[in-house]
Amino acid sequence: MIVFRDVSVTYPEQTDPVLAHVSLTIPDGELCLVVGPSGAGKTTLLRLINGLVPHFSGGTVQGSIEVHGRSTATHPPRELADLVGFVGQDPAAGFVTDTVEDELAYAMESMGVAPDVMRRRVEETLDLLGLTALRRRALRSLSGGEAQRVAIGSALTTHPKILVLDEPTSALDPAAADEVLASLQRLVHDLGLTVVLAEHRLERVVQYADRVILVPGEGAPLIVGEPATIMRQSPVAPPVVELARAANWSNTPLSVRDARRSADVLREQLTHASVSMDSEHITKSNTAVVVHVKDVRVSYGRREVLHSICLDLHEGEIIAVMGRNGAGKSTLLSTMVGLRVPFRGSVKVQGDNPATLTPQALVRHIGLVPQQAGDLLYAESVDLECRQTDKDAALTPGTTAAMLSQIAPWIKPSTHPGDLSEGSRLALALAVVLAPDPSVLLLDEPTRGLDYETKSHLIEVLVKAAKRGRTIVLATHDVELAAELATRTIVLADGEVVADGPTREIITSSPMFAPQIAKALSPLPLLTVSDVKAAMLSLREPL
Amino acid sequence: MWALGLAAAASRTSNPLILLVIIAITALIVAFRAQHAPWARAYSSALVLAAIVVSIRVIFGLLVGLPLGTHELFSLPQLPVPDWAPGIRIGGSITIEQLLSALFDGMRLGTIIVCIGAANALSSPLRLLKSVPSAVYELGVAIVVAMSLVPTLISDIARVREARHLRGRSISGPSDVIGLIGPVLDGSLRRSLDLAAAMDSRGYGRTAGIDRKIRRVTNLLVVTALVALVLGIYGFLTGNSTSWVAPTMLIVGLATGVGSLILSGQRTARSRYRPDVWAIPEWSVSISGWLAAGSLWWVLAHNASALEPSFNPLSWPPLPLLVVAGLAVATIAALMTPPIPSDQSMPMREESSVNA
Repeated sequence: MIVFRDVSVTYPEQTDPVLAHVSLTIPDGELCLVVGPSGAGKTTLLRLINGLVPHFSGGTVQGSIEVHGRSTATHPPRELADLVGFVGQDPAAGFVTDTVEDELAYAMESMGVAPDVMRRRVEETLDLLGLTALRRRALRSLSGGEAQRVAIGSALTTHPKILVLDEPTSALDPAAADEVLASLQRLVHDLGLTVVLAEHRLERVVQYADRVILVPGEGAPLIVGEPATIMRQSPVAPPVVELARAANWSNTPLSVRDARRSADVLREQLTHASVSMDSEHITKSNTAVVVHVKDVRVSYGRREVLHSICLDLHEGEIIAVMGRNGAGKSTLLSTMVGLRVPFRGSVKVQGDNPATLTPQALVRHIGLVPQQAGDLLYAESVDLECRQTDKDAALTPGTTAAMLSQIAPWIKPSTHPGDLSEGSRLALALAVVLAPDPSVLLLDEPTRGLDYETKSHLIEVLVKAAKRGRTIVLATHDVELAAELATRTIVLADGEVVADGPTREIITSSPMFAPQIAKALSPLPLLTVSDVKAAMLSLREPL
Repeated sequence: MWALGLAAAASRTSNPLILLVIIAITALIVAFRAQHAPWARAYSSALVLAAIVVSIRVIFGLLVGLPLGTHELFSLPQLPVPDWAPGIRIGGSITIEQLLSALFDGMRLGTIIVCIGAANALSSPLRLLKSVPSAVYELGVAIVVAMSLVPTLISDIARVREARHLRGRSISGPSDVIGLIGPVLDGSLRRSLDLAAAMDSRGYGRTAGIDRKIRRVTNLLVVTALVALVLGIYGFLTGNSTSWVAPTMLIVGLATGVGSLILSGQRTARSRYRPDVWAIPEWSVSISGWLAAGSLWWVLAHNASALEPSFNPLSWPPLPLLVVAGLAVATIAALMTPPIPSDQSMPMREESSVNA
């Protein structure tokens, strides 16, 4: 049981509290979902539970927090470690040892668990999270999703009463995310574990939650309640909920299964609607080729990561590159921008080899926002960062700042980039890359850690850029984003292209990549809520 | 342990041939046994470091030092030295003897560095941690985390450079390189905080209700033991200090060390997951390393001139057979032991070689 009594948190050098007067009780055995916009204080709320705030962050905490009768004011995180397992936003940053097995055992060693018990629990956890094949791997060699699973596993081995997770699925592909969530649910059911998790991708998590805590941000009071009640009024909602709103259903479905059962009437109606959306997703194969990838093979050391990739990317296309964790998506993007040199084959961006271009010429040809978007930033403040970009790319002063206010108007120019939330930092990096207006824009996991509002700003900006004839490539696990945005989808598996075609065709043909609406309304070829709205509109108008 | 034995051997000789043999042995073993892991690069960086040390030693030996020998190579302008510092000279004539003695002396230090580099390359620092007694475990973790900072820093620099490139800046002048330092240090600081938070939330440093007094006494004993051991070993290896200091210190160090281990043994807060077994192969490897050192000691005691090359008259240094035999044993033992199961992080792709 976790009890918050009138808790307020103020960080040093800030006048306004991040969280104000929070009173909250989380009973045992509940799966509790924390939602809210970027930078609203979700992470702070989670870190209060095991005492990382204030023992590690500094700042003042008023009120009291009790976890199973222990006060976090007097117990530092290490004295709570047997009760609370914690997995941070960047799992790789928390690895202490160097192989998977040792990492799983680390917390148990600190706890003094007997060796034979440790052996058994490590094996159980390996099975539970599907890590058996990785047991001897070096932690540095893991892909994002694998690392996330190892981090969850190492928090589980001590058999804590409470598990706290900060965005556990944001780096995972849909299948891996389902796996992790399913095993979390099993833990809740079988062991009575209390799980508190923050997540932006509601469509993945909300169906498993017993309770939702909405953190509105700026010190506003929290809203706590049943998932269905909260979702009905929440400004952020998964596509099935939006579907229910659009179709005026009385109940609020939380999962695809609920939605499918409520959708019988709607499906019947829409079968008669002339679905003419295909005309807007025109294939762009008649426009000029901008990026020409010919027989490219890339290897890291002795391991070949990309095998003979051939691709032509056309002007004005928005391309989603999908595939499981470690399939070679990031490598493909960094090869296109010239950071990796293929040992065979060639990459041409508008006829030039990107690896030999000078950096100044490169930013006008092709831009990449890497997975660790913060790497791109190095100035002391957001404002300086924007001015530096203008100077580097010889733009009219103010271009980058204007771009930023389009994507994320709430960012204060005086903030240090390092103090921004994950989502805001990504928005800033995007603005920096978009400002010189490159003809090809590559985005590696652009929606990781973004709330729905930031995401819709991003979609707007990208669609505008594509209309101007820019080519956009997204490596993403976010099927909803791909459905909404991409005209073409490429699926990579193990370094090879296994599917390449119009988004509608590719993602409806595979259950793994299908978005929620497509699943709920199958076999209709509708992908997004806006598709459904358009179809309903066409019904009302006489043909 | 094996590498430390070789390092001990190296510290007692300045015979260039023996030193070269030792370096060759470590290179051989590293080439055979090094794993594909971040720490495996330690050996090459140790080589570079050793080369730098040797050249610095030679330059200083040539420019500053006592005049030695008669075979003049060439002459540099000599700086006048104030009267209160007799016997020291800056510049002046340079002799072969001087050059060689500086070179050999530098090589001795260089070889020790290479040996330690080899130790680093052959096993992960974290594996070493498993053999550390629990009293000093927390100190050990701190050191290991600090050591792992270096490879992370290097990969950070690469990442920041790539990011700069993506933003349209080229890195050419020294000012750009200095500009890299800020974000890299900033990043590593943030990461250390993250790591510290993660370790804390996983129970690192739990004290599981042990008596405060006992804990203080243990810590005091550990520190005393370490200081005494270090002093003792230093005295033993350099052979400079008066005869009774080194053994006494070693004995004091060992006694306090054992005492602290017994005390900390009561502290059952930690346990080990699959501790490394210290079996016959491990013993034979470390003994063989020390055998090499022992052979050197023996030769030193009976025939000291063989290990210190003579400069007067200049002659080709002898290569004592016994020492070579000792080193050969070290090599063979290290090669004969079964390899550590390597991690499977780099699966080979068979089909790719067929296609190529």
